[in-house]
Amino acid sequence: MSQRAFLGLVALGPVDPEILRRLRIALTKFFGLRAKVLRPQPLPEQTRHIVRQQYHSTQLLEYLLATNTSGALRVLGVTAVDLYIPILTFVFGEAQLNGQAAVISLYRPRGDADGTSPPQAVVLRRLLKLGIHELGHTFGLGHCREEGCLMGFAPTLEKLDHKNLAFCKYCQVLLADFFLERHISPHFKKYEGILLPDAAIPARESARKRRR
Amino acid sequence: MLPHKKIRILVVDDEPSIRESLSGWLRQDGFEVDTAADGVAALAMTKENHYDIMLIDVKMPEMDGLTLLKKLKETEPEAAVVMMTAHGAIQDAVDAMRLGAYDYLLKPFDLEELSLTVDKLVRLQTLAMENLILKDRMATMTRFENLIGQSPPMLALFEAIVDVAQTDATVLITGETGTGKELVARAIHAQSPRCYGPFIAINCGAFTEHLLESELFGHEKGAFTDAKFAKKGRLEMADAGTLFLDEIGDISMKMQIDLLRVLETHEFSRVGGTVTLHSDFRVIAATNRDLKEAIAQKTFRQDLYYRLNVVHLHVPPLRERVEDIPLLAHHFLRRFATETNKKIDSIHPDALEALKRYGWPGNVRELENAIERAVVVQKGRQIKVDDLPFITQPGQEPAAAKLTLEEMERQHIARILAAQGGNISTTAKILGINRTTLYHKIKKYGLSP
Repeated sequence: MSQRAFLGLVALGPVDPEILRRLRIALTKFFGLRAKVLRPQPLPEQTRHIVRQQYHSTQLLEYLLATNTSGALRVLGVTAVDLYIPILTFVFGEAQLNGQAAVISLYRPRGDADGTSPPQAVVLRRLLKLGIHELGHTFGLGHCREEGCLMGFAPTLEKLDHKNLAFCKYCQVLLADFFLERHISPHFKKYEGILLPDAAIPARESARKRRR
Repeated sequence: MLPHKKIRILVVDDEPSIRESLSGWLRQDGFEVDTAADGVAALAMTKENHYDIMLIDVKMPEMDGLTLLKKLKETEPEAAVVMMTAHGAIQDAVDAMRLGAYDYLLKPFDLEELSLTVDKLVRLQTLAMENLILKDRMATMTRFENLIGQSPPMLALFEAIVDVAQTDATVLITGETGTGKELVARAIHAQSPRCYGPFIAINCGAFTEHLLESELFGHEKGAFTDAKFAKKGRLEMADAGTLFLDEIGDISMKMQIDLLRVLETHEFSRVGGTVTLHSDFRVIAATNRDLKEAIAQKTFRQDLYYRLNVVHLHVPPLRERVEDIPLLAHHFLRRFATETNKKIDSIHPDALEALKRYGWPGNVRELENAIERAVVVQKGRQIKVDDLPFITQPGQEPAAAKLTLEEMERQHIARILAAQGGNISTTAKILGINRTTLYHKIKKYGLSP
């Protein structure tokens, strides 16, 4: 695997580009791998459950894999619709364990299901936690029972909010091993505590910073 | 049967998408999961494997969930069963609870509901396992025996023990179950400069991950629900002595990371504690597993292997030191005759020959048990071939003569599998067949690995 391995972000259906931009910056910071926003894809109609008015996340993962030709190491789908798997009422996201694709939904973090309207920073933080968690699964990490670890299972938003934006010491070691075995060289090897991209920085400001 | 450390779950549902999504979710949570499409298939699977938890759909073709539950209560009474039923079918759920189901879930269920139910069941099954393990520990704690042998491989081992005892190097002892690995570790400790310090042994394979963590590192009061008092761990207790880590090949990947760190620094904290403790101990580890194979299968860390394998000692199986069998047999005879106050003082030459011919898959421990049994049943002064019925060669024993070739094979595989603690690799090696063939035979004969 070359050193140019990157993470791909794909909007499935309409998603605020600003959210994708901040997610891209934060994922790059967290994993030490460049994240790119790839070409958006429409939501396939056959993945929608007419009665439940939700989209089948497992089928979306297959769709992501079929439509992705970017060469990304892992691809993370982001959607604004509610997701489900047949046995569960809903899921925040889903990933292929040790696979290439993951998908997360903005629907519940944004409060669409319970009618709340949390601040944008809270929504972004939730979405980032979900994205890192699901990508963690694609890197071979299972659910972790260490207190506060981002790979811990969170069935509710409340529990999601209580999780740290960091991996525990074990998951850090296991992730570093995963990269090492595949000769992937992230910029650093400590997957703990990152700052969220500043909400106040407009897109062109951050672009100017990059040019400098 | 020894309890399973990893919780194993069977999902039974006729709907493929339900089976896939539920098993996928449970696997991500670290469980071993199998699936079955109907009750008939599920029953067949329970004959081949032990499941701690079963999630069963009520409505299925062939055999419905309630019929399956009734049958399971007869054959697998210890399994915790949760029924899955559709909304509007509450009566089914009530019937299931009457029949002994632990709980029921209404489909589709909430993530939190599923998580809470599974957590409850895991706690329940873990407690049952730990109970068994502790009983097993109490039984083994009372046993002690000496290392005995005059065969060339044993003489070489004695020499190596004397050499390595003088150093502080970490030792990895390998050998089949029952060969006496702990006795080798005790011998090293007894002849080392640390002999006046404690010899602390822990069977890593006998604990769940969390119990092992608490046993090794100790815990502070309130570290977890049952931690009513602070407790010293084995690492602390082994200060100035020797720490013997038995069945090291069975520890989880997380515990391997922790252990590696401790072996490097000799520093650690109790569970729930913040103070860094230091302990000066020498480490001796033992395993009956092929750690190189475990590394290849990514179930054992290479860095930990190198840290442990500074000096490697191998304890030969009893079948490779047949000349030691009479010596060991007489040693055990003297011990058990004294313990039972019997006047048995010899072993008939035919019986001794039979002992030497037998393969001893359970090694010295099996020989010890055989002699103990013979002493118990013998009324005279000498142990005879008839006192050792299970080691008699086929054809010499009337009962064995009635067995079919298949039945002989089934019994032999079952015995070796049990002696190897269910380890497929070592069992296949002893039997001289490959792992795939062994799996087929296990399935064919309905054995439990």
